[in-house]
Order: sequence, then C-alpha cells, then structure tokens
Amino acid sequence: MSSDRYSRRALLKALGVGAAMLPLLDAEPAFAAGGSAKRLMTITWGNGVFTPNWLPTNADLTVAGALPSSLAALQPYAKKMLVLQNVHLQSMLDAAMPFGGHFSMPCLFTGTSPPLNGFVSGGPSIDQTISDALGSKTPLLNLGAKSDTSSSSWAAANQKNQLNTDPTSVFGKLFAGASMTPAVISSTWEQDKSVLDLVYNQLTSFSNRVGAADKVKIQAHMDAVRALETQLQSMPMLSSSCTAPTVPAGVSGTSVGGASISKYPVLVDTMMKLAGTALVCGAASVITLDLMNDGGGNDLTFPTLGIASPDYHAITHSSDTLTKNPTATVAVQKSTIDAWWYKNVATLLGILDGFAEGDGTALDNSVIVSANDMSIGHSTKNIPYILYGGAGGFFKTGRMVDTKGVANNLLLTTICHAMGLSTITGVGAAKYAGNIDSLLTM
Amino acid sequence: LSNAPVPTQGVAMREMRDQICAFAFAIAFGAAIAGCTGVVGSGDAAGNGSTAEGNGAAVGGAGTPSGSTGATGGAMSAGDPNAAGTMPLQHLSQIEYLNTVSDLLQDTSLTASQLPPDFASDPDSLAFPEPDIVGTLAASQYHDAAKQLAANVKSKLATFLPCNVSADTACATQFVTEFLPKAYRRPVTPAEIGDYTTLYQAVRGAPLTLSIADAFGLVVSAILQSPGFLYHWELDPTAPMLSGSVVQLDPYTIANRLSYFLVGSMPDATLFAAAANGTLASPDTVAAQARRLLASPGARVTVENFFDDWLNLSLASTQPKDPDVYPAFQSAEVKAAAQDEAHNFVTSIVIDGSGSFSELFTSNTSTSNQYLAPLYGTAPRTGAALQPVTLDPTQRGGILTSVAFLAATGGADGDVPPRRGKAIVTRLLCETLGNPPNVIPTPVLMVGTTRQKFEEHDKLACTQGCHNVIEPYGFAFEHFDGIGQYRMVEHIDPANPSATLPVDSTTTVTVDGQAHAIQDAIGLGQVLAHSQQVYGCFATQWLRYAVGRVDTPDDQASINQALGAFAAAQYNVRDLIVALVTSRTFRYRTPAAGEVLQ
Repeated sequence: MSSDRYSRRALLKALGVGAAMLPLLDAEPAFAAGGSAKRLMTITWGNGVFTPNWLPTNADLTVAGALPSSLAALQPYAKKMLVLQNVHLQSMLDAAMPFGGHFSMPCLFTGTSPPLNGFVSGGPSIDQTISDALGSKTPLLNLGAKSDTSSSSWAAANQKNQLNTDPTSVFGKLFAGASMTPAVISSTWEQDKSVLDLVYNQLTSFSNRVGAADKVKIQAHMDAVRALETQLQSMPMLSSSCTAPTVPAGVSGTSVGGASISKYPVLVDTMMKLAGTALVCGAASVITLDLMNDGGGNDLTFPTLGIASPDYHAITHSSDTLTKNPTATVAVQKSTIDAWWYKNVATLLGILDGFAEGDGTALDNSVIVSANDMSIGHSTKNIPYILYGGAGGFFKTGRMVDTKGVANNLLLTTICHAMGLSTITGVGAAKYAGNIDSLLTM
Repeated sequence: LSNAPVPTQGVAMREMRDQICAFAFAIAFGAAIAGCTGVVGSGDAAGNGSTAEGNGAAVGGAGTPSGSTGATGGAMSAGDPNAAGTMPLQHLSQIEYLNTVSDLLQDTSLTASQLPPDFASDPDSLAFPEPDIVGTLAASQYHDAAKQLAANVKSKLATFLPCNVSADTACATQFVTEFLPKAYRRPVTPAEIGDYTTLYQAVRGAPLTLSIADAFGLVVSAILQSPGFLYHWELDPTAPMLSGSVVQLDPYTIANRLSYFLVGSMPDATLFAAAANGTLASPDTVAAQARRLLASPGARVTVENFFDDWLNLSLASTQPKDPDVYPAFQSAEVKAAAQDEAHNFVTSIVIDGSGSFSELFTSNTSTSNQYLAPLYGTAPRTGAALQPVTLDPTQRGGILTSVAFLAATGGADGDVPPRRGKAIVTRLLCETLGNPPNVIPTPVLMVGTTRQKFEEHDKLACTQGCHNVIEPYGFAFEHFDGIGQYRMVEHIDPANPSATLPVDSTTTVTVDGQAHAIQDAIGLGQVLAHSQQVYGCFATQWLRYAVGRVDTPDDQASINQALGAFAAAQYNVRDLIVALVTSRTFRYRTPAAGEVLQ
C-alpha cells in the first residue's frame, strides 16, 4: 500500500501545490480564477429532514411564504440561499447502498462511499482540500457537538479529522490571544515554535526507523505538528475590533448523552457563535461543525423543545411514513426539531451577515453549507444540501435549484471553484468529475 | 443505530403510540442487525489483518478461523514455531499516558478528557480500543497537556530537580541526563540529551531570555511531546537485529511491553534493573517479572479493563435505559455498582482467588449493595459498599449472568437476544459474522414475548446469515430483562399491561462443533466454561490485548504454546497470562515492510 494513499500531500501534488507548502506559515491565500469566497463552513447533522415541511414552495426563495416552517428561521437570508434538490450520494448508490444513510456522513463532503456499514471515507473532504490548498494562516478547524463516531471531515482516506467538542478549548485556541499583550503573544509563540520544531525534527528522524505503514502514522503526526504551529501562530492575528463570544458556565465537556442533553442547545448555540466569530474575525477560514450522529436512544431526545419522548430516531422513522400527513403529531415533532437545527444555522448566518465587508457582508463573501446525511428512509438520494452566501458573487442565490439528479461530487467540485480552486476538475472518482453550472452567476 | 424506548409519556395519540412501538421494534432489530457487522479476512493499515477464513456465520462448521486458535473447536494449525507477529507503531493510550505521568512526574492533575480518545477500530475482531493516529487536535491536546504538566513541574522545581537550580546549564544537563531515560523508558544517546540541553541554552539566551524556571518548564514540555515519550517503539540507538526472519526485542522493549500490558504504565525500578542487567532476555525472568506485576495493584485494573473491553461491560453505565420501563436503573449509583460488582467478581477470581477460568462462568459468589440487591432479588442491603453475597444458583452463575453484562447487552426498554447472542459468538467463540442487510424489515409480530417476536422475524430470508446464527445463544438469557432482573414471565402487549406469558430460555447452541441442548444461561455458562473453543478464543483475546493488535498466523504457535500451559495449569488464567508474555510472539516481532534493519 502506498503511503500516498494516506497522505494529503499526494493530493496537493496533484493540485500542483508542492508538499513543501504544508509548513508554509506566512503565505497568503492565492485565489485562482473562479470564485473568491474567503471562508467556508460546513454544518452537518443526521436523521434526515421531514420533507413536506422543509421543501420550499417556490423556486424563487424571495417570494413571500416560499420557505416552509422548518426553514422559517432562515427567512432573513432567503435571498442569499441556494436550496438544492436531487443531489445524490452517487458513490454510495453505485456501491449498492441506496439506504445507507446511517453510514453516509463520510460521503457528504468527500464524495466517496464508505465500505458497507463502515464509518470511513475513501478520500479527503473538501474542507481539508480547500484549507490545504489555500495555505491559509489559519488551519482547518473541526468542531463537534457530538461524539466522533463518524465525521464529515477527513484528512485523507481512512484518516478522520478529530472534532473538538469542548467550547472552552475552542475558545482558548481561537481567542485566548485577545487578552495577551503583543510581547506575551510573541514570546509564547516563539517558545511553542521552538518546542514544535524540535518535535517535528525528532519525528522526521523517527520516521526513518519504521516501516512503510508506520511512516504514514508519523507523517500524519508531522502534518499535525505543522498545523498546530499554524494554529498557534494565528492567535495574535485576531483583530482588536473583534469581540469574542462568552462560553457559558457548565457547557464545556457536555455532548450528546444522558443528563447533558438538557445542555445540548446551549452547546450548539455556543459552537455556532464561536464559529461565526472566528470566521468574521479571521481566526479561522475553514470550519466544519458536526452537530449530531444518526441514531436514537434516550440520550437523543429534545426535552428543551418539549419532546422528551420518543427519541429522535424513532420520531424520524415514524415521520417518514407520514409524508402525506404533515400535521400528525410525530410529523410536527420532527419538523420542530428540523426547525431548531436551522434556527441555529441562522444564528451563524446572522453573525456573518452582520459583519460589513466590502460592499456587502461577510456572508456575501462566504460559502456556508448545511447538510444532512440522508433523506427519507435512510435514502442516500436527494440529500438536503443548502448553500448560504454568495461566494463573492460566484453563486446566483435566492433560489431552489433542481439539479435533476447529480452526484454530490459535482456540488463539491463547484464549492471548490467557489473557493477559488478553479483547477480542480473533480472530487472523488474520476467518473464523478464536473460541476453544477446551474448554481452559478452567469 | 440505537434502541428506541417505547414511549409511555407525552404521546397522546394511541395511533401514533402503536406506530412508534412498531418502529421501536424495527430499530431494535436494526441495532442488533447492525451489530452483526463482521470483517472476514480484513486488514488494517499496517497489514495486520484478521485472517479468519470461511464464513463465521457457520458456527461450529467448517470455517476455521486460522488466526484464532480453536475458535470453532476444529483442528488447530500448528503454526511456525519460529514466527512472531508484527509490532505496529502505537502511541500511549489515554490510561497509559495518565499512569505514566503519574509515575514519572507524580502528577495526577490531568483527566482522560484532556487527551486524545482511544479509537475502537473494529470492535468485532478487536475487543479493545487502540490509539488513533495523532491528528491536529491530538497534537494540540498533547501540547496543552505537556504545558500543564510542565507548569506543575516549575511550581516544585526545587524538589523536582536532582541539582541546584542556580547551576543553570550544568543543572539542566544533569537533569536531562537523568530524566530523559525515564521519560523515554530506555537508554538515550548523547545526541538525544543534546536536543534538550541545546533547547535549554537557546531559550535562556536572546531573544527569549527565559528565566531558569521557564526554561526548565519548556524542556519538560518538549520531552513530553517527543516521539520518544509518546510512542511505544524500539528507539534505542542501534538498529534492530534480525534473528532468523524475526527481530528479538531488546530488554527495554520487553520491559515496556510487559509493564504497559500488565499494569498500564511505565516500567518500575525493578523492571528497569532487569532490563539493564540483561536478564529479561530469559523467558524465566520474564515469567518471574510477570508474576510479580500480576500481584501489584496495577494488574487489578488491567484485569478489570480487559473484561470491560472484552465483554463491553462499561456499556452498562452508558447504555440508555428507558426511565419508564427501568426506573431502577437510572441513577449513577446503580450503574457504578453494577460495574464495580463485575470488577470485584473477575478480580476475586483472576487476581485474588483460584484463577480458575471455569469459575468466571459458573460462580454464584459475588458482591452486592443497596442498589444491586433489588436487581438480584436478594435480601435488602443498606449502604453503597459492596458486600459478599451468594446468589441463587438456579438463576445466576458467572459473569454472563451479572447485571453489568446483562444491562450492557440489554436494550433501552427490553432484552435484545441478538445482542447477547452476538456477544457470545464474537467475543467468546471468536466467530465472525456476515454483514447485515441494508434494509431493515418491518416487524411482523407486535404482541408476544421477545423471543416470539424475534423468532417470527427470523423467518424472513434476510435474517438467515446472522440472526439465525446468534439468537440461539441469546435465547438462553430470556429469563433476564434489559437490566438483568430475573423473570419467569414477560409482559407481551404494551396496550395490555396485565397480559403475560412464561419466558422460554431453552435452546440449542453449537460449541466445539457440537450441538448442546441447554435450559438457560446457567447451562450455557457450564458449556462455555469447559469448551476448548472458548479456551482458544480467551487466549486469543488476551494475546490481542497483550500485543495491541489482531492476531495473525504468525502468532499461532505462540497461542498454541500458551494454550498448552493453560491446560497444564488446569485453566488458571494467571498461568495463561504468564505463558503469553513468555511466548515468542511477545518477545520477538516480524520486521515491518520497508523497515531498515541490520
């Protein structure tokens, strides 16, 4: 097995970006022709959506009433949205997993099928690709409000990016520098750098001693050390005009599960605010946020929405059978939960849209993507992707677009183009190459 | 995938309630089916794959997992007596890191949540989690942890250092020279010492001009982030030497392997001394050291952890239970008591008692407290302290009838026979199972005992490869509900709480390639306790635990040798462990592809 399979350096080479770029800490993003979005964030959760209360009633989202109840919180941003129809996880369909929705999270942003009932990807996700290729001063930030059984973000095939689920830790990484003097920041960075450079060199020597498979592990560790250096260096870049959000007491260390479910809404809200502030303040350029796994159990209920029982999974299954009866109790419960997810997305959008940038707002120069890993009945067809933000005028927003059944790979390629990676011709297997022209401003 | 509770509150519509019940049942099936996922002949990135051949679904059939000794009770491969398995690179697990800094720095300020999580790569074939690769978040966590530990060192520098801090560079050199071999857990080279003395001098000078204390702290932080500290590997200055086609592990690597396996931490002074004087090259010395470590407190935790991982006992604490169905299993106290009792049970036999393997599956002597007594149906107890108890021998016998195992393998609102059956098949018989179907079928029977529902379900064609294989083992536990309470009858209709039917735990299971008609879980325990197949599987699971990977054909001769010692010792678990650590596959390794050797 080639070590390149596990190394995103191989991908960078394919993109024409030298491996030596990885530790490059001072490079500015060099956008190629195409879109000019400055930031990307993906937001993912599971168990699908209740379509009758989710699907817009008009392809023109700016028409009054076009956004149904589940998307009501997004109304202020209707003209900056693209609701997509009939985007399929084609790689999973081709792998005979038409109902593999419980295992599809790795496919959402990699365009690769997991093995049957596996939780791994066959390649890197576009957040990793874009973050690497931009050579940004801020590294990829992977956030979670869930256990990382699965993940939407992958450094490479079989290399899951770990999620930081602790808001206090996230705050420390992003904003702790705001309270330091420049001299302290500089000294701290130099000290950290002296240590990490030594560790990097030791890992390099270490790598010479081990076999091929273990070299891959060491390379991943070396990549991580360089990414950490980038992360630590980015701290002092925070503008003094940015106000870091507060992390409420008692929310750190919580995740989905047991008694902490009552704090889950605060956790999600906090993560949205941390992410939004990080994006507009330049503390992060590419963020992923995984909100909830598929599944159920008593820990996956929504008591704060008045839905303590049944659990989320049972509600989803039951509501699946009620697509012709959207007012049935269980359908209303599922729609209430759906609406809550998008309300949290709206919190993020509000931060970006409230930050003036150029002739518009930060949202206008961003690509925000929300996605669920399945549609009704575990289906891997017609995945509910929504794009927010114009990517600097790249996208023609305010619409629902029926793609007529394209592989999600084409959407991922289009997002890469929106982020300025115009040389990318495809994401995933070669047979899924291409983009979705109908999303673009022509 | 998870079990869903039957809703009993907050749902007004009867129609919906029935529907939810239907889907809850479907989801229960789904969870069980998904749990059937197995990997036959799979391999990990390092090429260390399970080499099971044949269809594991055919329990006791022709498919003999060649990498798992006696797993089907058939003839075992002798294996190559000169072979040894690989030693893939791994970093310290959470518990190993915490234990190591406790021993090295006398610092217990960190918690597991501050460290990278361990990663369950393939729970069916590997009964324990293994550390994941070090990604950005993990590197960040190691960075933060090291800085915290270094700050603590700075606060006690005067007592921590072996020299007067005012000596500055001279003291730093002395400190690194003495501290680094402990942190790296092996002899170090002058160049490695030089890495840190150079760092110390650099940060003491311009432009940083750190104070002496800050410079010492930085050196400690750097050491704790180095590969020499974080990884398990032969990192001594000399390249590994081939001995035939395998590499004989150097004494320090053996000392580390032995210590981390048996006590979950770095070698102690006695073990370091044995490595230094070369006696660890002798299997007899390794055995003596193993017996010494097995008597230490750390080994007690290792045995507890092994059974937790092997039988997923910790799920008893985390598996959600519907508060309406199981109000007696909601508090943290009862969940902790269940796990503590299981720990007491296994250590009372393996560490403190006879070491008898069969007792693990037959003994009705355990411990109980105020929380467990109602679940076991014994006389009421007062207080949280676990006290000795003799359980009803017609109901309980061995770890498989413990509340911990039964709650861990039970559902949120009932028992799930496939889960319990799967645990027996994959963890005790070392069988592998085929993949579940993609589409979960709609349940066909809504009123009846759990067994009746699953038996009806098992008539569907899609269940043939999995449910029909595992459920005969699971049905033996039908006298136990989802939290391990004994029952003679079962409620059969959520709409009619007074409707009950007697439970039926009679079943026929295949063990050692033979059919065994049994009455219940007690009977199953008796069969398993004296099974060659289970002996082989148990030895294989311990071997996996000891070497941190799935077994391969190169381990076969070592497993056979350990099994021989196990039998000679009347199946004493302590003797099995000692036999495994003296085996060739524990003391040697196959070179990795691409590795530079002399």
